[in-house]
Amino acid sequence: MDMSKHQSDILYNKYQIKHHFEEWFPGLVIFARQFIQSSTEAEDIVQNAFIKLFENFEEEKNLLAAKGFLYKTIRNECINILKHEAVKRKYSQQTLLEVSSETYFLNKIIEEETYSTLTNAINQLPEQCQKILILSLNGLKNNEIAEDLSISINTVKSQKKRAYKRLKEQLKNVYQIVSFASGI
Amino acid sequence: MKEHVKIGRIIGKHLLSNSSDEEEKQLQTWLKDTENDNIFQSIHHHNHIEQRLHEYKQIDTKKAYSNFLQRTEQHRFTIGQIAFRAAAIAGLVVTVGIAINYLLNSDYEPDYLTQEVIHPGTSKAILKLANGARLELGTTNDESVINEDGVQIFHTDSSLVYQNEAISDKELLYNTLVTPHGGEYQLELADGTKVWLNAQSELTFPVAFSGTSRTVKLTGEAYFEVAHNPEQPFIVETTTQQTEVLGTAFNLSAYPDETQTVTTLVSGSVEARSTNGNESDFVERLKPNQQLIVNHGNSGTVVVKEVNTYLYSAWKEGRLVFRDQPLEVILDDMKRWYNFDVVYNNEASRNYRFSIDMPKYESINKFISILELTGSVDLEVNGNTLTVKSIN
Repeated sequence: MDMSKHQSDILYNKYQIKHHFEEWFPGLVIFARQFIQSSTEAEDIVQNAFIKLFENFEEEKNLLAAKGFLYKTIRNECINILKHEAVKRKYSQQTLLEVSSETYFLNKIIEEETYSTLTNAINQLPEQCQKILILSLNGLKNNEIAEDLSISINTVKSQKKRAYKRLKEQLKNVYQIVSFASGI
Repeated sequence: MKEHVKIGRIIGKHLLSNSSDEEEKQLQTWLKDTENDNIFQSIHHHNHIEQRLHEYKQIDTKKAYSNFLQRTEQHRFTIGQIAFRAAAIAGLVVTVGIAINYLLNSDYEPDYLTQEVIHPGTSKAILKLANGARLELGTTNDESVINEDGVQIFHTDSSLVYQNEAISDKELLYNTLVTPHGGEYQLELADGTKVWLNAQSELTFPVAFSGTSRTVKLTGEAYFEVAHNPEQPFIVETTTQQTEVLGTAFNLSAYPDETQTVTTLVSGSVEARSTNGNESDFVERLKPNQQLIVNHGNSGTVVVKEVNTYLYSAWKEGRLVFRDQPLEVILDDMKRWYNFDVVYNNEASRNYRFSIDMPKYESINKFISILELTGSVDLEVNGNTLTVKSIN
């Protein structure tokens, strides 16, 4: 029996959803805001989606499937609101068509997963590591980062090394999830 | 849609230069599609990561989480029946030498079981404070903070967290956490050590740690994830044994009504030694995946063997797992969680062996009906009593 699967890829009971709530919530709220602007409304919708997942929980749910369920529920609820209130909220028919499309939905999932992977990993790092990594993600070279933060280029190099080493640890779980699900 | 979640994660790891070869290969295949490449370029070039980090901080996740806990806590009672129906379809794995997987989809349920009396346990416990006050935990949804000699105790839903800012040299104050039949609770001690306390167990611990060691006392069963601190070894005392650890995860089962104390090491290292003069003395240092069994009979045998630790720690992951165990052992364990009595009309059935892997929040009915369908036992529920009858 492969232990890692037991611990990371499968939700055995609905109470385990709790362990992922804090990790997933902020990203999903931002995802909801790709459809509707109101933050409070977005938070409510995400909260309700989690409750729905909890109530309709099926035995031994794959983590990716659980996340997919949340995305779908959130998106459907947002579109419902938009359709009902399109006039009041001054959405043009074209905007509505665009955000209701399957392509928009799936692209936003990819975008959100990328960002939550980045954000959750970076959030765990010490502050200076974070700054250096963000600048590096923005395409800055080591010497530019050093200049930008008024530190030596060697510090940038060593901090970067440290950051990647720690990220490797944190991203191990993500790796397990990815490697378990078969084929893209 | 699962694929989109997955590719998003791979892109995230790619951007952090932390993707595996396999993932890179998957990404390159995916990028062959021009539209996909466009998505990738747009994420890569319009890097909003700074803004995203800022937005994350604006969202009150803690509040949303406690809200979620409250709402699901209420649901636990009202939708219990619905949850059972849904769970029953996929629920149980029971084998008796032959595969009976086809039963997994069965809705078979004997008529007499429709009235449920025996329920699975829930998160509940009693906390005894140093001044003798007793707090009942798990009955309300309230989040609360208790102050015990300058130590903050946070209480949410199914766990207690002890936090102390300053280290005191004062005499240690002790609290005791007690779980009843059908109860379990989680606890985080002041040093960050996490403890899962199983049903019908008791843990006594100082509200803050000082001195040269961190000592707690256990009766019953608990799983420990000990915070690493070589300066201050963590010691678990049971009536007959002292288990000393540096920083590790292990399960310790020392129920007074059982004939053995079982220590199972998941990771790290522990040293267990006898403290009871009546029994043979032992000092055993365990390696990960090793289990120490100390029998309390006259023989007082001590055994160390390699085990699959999942079997002994699955209870804290919400599962009841037994591998080729006698019915009596299985039911004795189930009794603590479901709170029932057992009567054996057929003595031989005590030793029938079963393998089980089931969610512990499941109704006991499905468990019973599938055990029966194996044809080796006949079980009858009467009120709070489970009778094991002979098959003629």
